[in-house]
Amino acid sequence: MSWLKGCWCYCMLLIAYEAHSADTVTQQKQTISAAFEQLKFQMKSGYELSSLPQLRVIRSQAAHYAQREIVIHTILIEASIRQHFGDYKHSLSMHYEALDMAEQLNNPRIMVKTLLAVIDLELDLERFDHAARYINRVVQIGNSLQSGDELLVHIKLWQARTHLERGSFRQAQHELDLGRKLPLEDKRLSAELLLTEAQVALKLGDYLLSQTLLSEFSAKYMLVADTKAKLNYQLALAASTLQAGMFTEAITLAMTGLDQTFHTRYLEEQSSLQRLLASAFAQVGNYQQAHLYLKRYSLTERALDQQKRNNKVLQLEAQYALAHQQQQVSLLEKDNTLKAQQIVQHRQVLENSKLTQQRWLLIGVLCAAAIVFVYWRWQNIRYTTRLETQVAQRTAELKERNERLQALSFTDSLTGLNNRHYFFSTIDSQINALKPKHDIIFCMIDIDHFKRINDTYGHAAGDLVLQSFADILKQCTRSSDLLVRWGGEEFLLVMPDMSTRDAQEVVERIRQQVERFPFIVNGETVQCTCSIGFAPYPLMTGEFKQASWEQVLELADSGLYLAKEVNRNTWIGLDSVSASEPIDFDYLLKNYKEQVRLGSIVISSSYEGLQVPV
Amino acid sequence: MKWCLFFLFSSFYVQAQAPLVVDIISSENFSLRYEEFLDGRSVLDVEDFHPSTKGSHIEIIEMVLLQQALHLGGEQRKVIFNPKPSVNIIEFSDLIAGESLVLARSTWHEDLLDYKGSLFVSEPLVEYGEYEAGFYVAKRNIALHNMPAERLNQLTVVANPRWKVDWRALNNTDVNIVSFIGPWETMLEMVETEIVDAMLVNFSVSQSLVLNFEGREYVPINELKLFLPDSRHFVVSKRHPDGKRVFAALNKGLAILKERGILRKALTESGFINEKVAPWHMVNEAMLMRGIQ
Repeated sequence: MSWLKGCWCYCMLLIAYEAHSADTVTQQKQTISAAFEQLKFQMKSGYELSSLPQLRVIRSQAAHYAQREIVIHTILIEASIRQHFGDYKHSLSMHYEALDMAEQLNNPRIMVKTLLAVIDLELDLERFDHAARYINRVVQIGNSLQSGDELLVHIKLWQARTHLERGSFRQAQHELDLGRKLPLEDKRLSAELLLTEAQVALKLGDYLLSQTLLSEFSAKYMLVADTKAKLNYQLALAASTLQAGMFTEAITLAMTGLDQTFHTRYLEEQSSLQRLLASAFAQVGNYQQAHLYLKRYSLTERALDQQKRNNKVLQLEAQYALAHQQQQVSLLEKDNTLKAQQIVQHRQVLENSKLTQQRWLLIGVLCAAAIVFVYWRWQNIRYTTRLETQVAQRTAELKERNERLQALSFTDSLTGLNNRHYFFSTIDSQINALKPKHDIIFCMIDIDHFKRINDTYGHAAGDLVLQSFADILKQCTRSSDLLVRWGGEEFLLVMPDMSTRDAQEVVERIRQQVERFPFIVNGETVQCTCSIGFAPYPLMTGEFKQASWEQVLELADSGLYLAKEVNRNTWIGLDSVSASEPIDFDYLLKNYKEQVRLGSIVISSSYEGLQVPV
Repeated sequence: MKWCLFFLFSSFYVQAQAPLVVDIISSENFSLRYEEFLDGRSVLDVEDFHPSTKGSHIEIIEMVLLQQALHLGGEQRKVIFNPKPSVNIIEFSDLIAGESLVLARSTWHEDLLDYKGSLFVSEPLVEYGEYEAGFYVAKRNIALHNMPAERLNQLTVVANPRWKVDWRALNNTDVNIVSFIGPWETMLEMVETEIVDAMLVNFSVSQSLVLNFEGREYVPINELKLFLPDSRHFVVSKRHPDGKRVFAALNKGLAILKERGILRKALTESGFINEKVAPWHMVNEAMLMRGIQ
């Protein structure tokens, strides 16, 4: 009942501590640590089931205050107790739980301790390959420990034990040799090291060494050794004595050892001792006893086999459960990975399609832009072309209009003949184009008594007369001649490349045609006549002086006035100016009639017997 | 006094002339094959140890070597073989009791540990690390022929846990072990029927290393071998009146044979030590502790 009392005290203590509001978290943590240390001290004597409740309380408190190191240790202790009592299934899962936590803690010492506990279990389960793997891992982590750390000796010890269990005795011996060279103060550890070395020596058949080691163990560590160690010592001593051929001593030692195994769980040691006794008795010839112990050995072995088989089944179950769990986890992971891959693929597809879309959009936009551009360009060209066409049209129209305007401006609207403006614009070019020794005849024509027609028949009738008159003039002239309505009823006829004689004929023909033409005015026939004066160009007014075309025109006009004055229906043409000395033209013009009379101006006329009036 | 001297002399003479009885295993017909191997030769004249009979050859060679060693060690008596069932021999009961003198079959050192008080253990016939074996697979199982050492964790090997040395050797590799207690032939059949992938067998004497058994062929996985981590010894009864003398002669003779290189020659020529696999990778090399011990 003492353990119940102890447990109750711990609970009360911990609850009291928790309830104490003034206590800090640090103090509570310290309390938990102290409680754990005390418990560990109590458990030194071996695996005690009674310590489990306290252990669990401490674990829960430590978990509450995130003291993960203590949590791991308590898990390992419980797992170790379970292992010792054959609950391999839970022991295995608890060891793995502790290992997971230790891995998260990232503390090499904790990791080493946890791994060593796992190795102990794996060796118990005869999973030597697992143990070897963990040994490799622990050795690797051990490299990061400080050189004086006793955990290094622990590592060597477990390396040796693993080799021993796997049957590589020489490797085990080597590791123990190395382990013994390391600094060590822990007596229990030294005892374990020594005992293991003696066991290895026995496996190698070196019973002398084994006996030496066991003597050392007995002398130094028997007091600190736990029950199991003492039993193993007894077994090893008996075995070495047997190997030495000291059968009676071996039997005595084995018997003593065997007594210690009754009512304990140390079946393996019991079996070994029984086998040893059978062998020893057989070798001393006591076959009855040999048979007895062989039978006992056989029974113990059967029980051990039974236990091993059950444990193996449990182990397999645990392994299966773990494997199943791992498989599930692995499946889930695979599924997750697959899904993640699918998501990634999906994203990629989406991104790709997005990119494709963007690409197509870009292409579309570019195409549209290109189309728009082409269309715009096309429209532009078309518009430009249209504009150009329009401009060309307009230009053409303008040109036409201009031409028309020019034509209009150069044409008399009533008669369709050119007007004075046209004459002035073109006469210079005609003068310049004149060939040498060719004349231009400037001829002024005026309708006689036209005012009377207007007054009598009206202006419209006058206009009709003018139109008909112009038609007559057109008919009587060449296409190369220039016919101009000079103003009112007065017309100018410019006839290039024509001599004075030919001009006389032309003007006569005009006079006659006009005289004979029946002008129809308001249904009545009206007779009209015209007077004509002309002069040739170039005209020499002196020996070296030539009259300008303007002067010639005025001379022609003077001839017209003279014809009007003389008779009307007459033409007077200036043939030449024959002056012995240069004549001032203005004078000649003002005194035209006088000069004609004087004979300075030679004229010709259609009027016979022309008498120039004064 | 005269009679006393005569009695002593005659008893020594009788002892000197009495044949040396050596136990052999009766379960296999070793006596016949031994005679077949000698083919009329004196056992002391045997210098060529190449196998000339069908079946396991090492037992024959050990019978020859034991006699040659005893002779070289000074034991001149004629040897008579006494076939006994293998169970008796494994238990060494007759030897322990002194009813048998010596066994013409070497034994693993590990199996002698508890009997060292009753048996003289000779110098090793096969040294630690000399006994090599291969992973024999069915010849038609081509996929396994060239399996690399890194993939040994995928190999399933059948083994008998009673063969402690084999068991220990395999436990120090990555292979998966299927425990089977039964006849050797059944184990081969398990390999043939692919219940397991391989079995540990010492290398065949044939040039191709092929093991032919009842028309079925087995080959070792190329370039992989392992050694059986123990030494083999002859044992002599301590209780037998001739034990001490015979043991002394045996050890002396073995030392001479070893010195003359005959032990190595015999083991090599008989195929026990196979030079063909000398460069192969030893998968449990760590157990050798080369360069450490």
